[in-house]
Amino acid sequence: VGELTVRDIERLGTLDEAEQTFAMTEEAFRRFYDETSRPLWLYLARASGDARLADDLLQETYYRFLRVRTTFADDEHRRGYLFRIGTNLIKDHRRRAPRHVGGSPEAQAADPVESAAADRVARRIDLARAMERLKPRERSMLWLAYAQGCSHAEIAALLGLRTGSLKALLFRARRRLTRLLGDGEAGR
Amino acid sequence: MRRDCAHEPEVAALASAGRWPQRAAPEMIAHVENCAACGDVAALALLFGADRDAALARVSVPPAGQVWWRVALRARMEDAQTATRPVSWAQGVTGACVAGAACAIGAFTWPSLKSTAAYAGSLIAGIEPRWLDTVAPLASLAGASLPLVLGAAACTILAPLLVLWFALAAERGEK
Repeated sequence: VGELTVRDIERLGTLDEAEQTFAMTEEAFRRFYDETSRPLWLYLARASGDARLADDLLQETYYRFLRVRTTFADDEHRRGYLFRIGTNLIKDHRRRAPRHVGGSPEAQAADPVESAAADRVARRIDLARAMERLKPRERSMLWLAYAQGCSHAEIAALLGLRTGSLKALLFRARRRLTRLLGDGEAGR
Repeated sequence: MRRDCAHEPEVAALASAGRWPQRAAPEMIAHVENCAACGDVAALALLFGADRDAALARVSVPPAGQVWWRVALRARMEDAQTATRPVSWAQGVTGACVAGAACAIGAFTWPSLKSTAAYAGSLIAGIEPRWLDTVAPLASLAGASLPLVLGAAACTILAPLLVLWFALAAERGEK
């Protein structure tokens, strides 16, 4: 949805019917959104390497999530489904604009004012730089595994991979990241 | 050379949840000290966890109500577009059919109309030979202007349909 016009706002009076369109009430959505929006945004930003893109993808992810007519077994299933939509959107975006590098996530990673510990900030900058040099799928895997604590089976389901393949891919991604982090520290 | 360890997921879960090493069992801590793979995992998970916690505190997302509102509005617009799509198709098909039918009728009736006009002219001329000089030009004029007459008739049929088409198109564009 782009910029809203006056005509769009006039239609708001009839939007109560939206609850009949979606498989979730507004109240339930608010609760779910409050729980998931920040981790989802962070995942989208880190996996895509572009904070502005993450803003757009966040809206699109929730739109697609609400439009889907699926019965969820529990909140974990619902959350996994949401992240899978986000992952697919990143893939779609990559397919459409493969050369787009996007904005640096360093803006989020580094904030010297916020953190007094310069070393911690430097390590986070190193991490952001190293992540930028990884492939998008590697970024997704590493973030899901080590920032969100997802199991191998969960990551495989989210990224559409086999669990057996994931272990090897995750190992390679981790080794690459460790090497890049080592280079970063050596360069400082 | 690949070297991984069966304890990696456990170490990653503990470290990413911020429970490493305080909540870890002593034997697990001892294992990580001697396992290069688990050591890497713990270090990375702690780094990712710190990055996540710092970033989460600063992430700014739109309010839930705003997202719901936008999603509802967009869903409504898309539903309306989907609902009117068959009508638009039907209008297009109808317009094409009318134009085609008008052309076909013109093509089929043109020879017979022409011969009828010629026959009528000759009949009139035969009834009163002295009128021949007057009627013959009129008959040839009727024959020559027949395409114009047919064209005007087709416009009379098509014009209201085209007006309706554009009016509906403008209304669709406003939605």
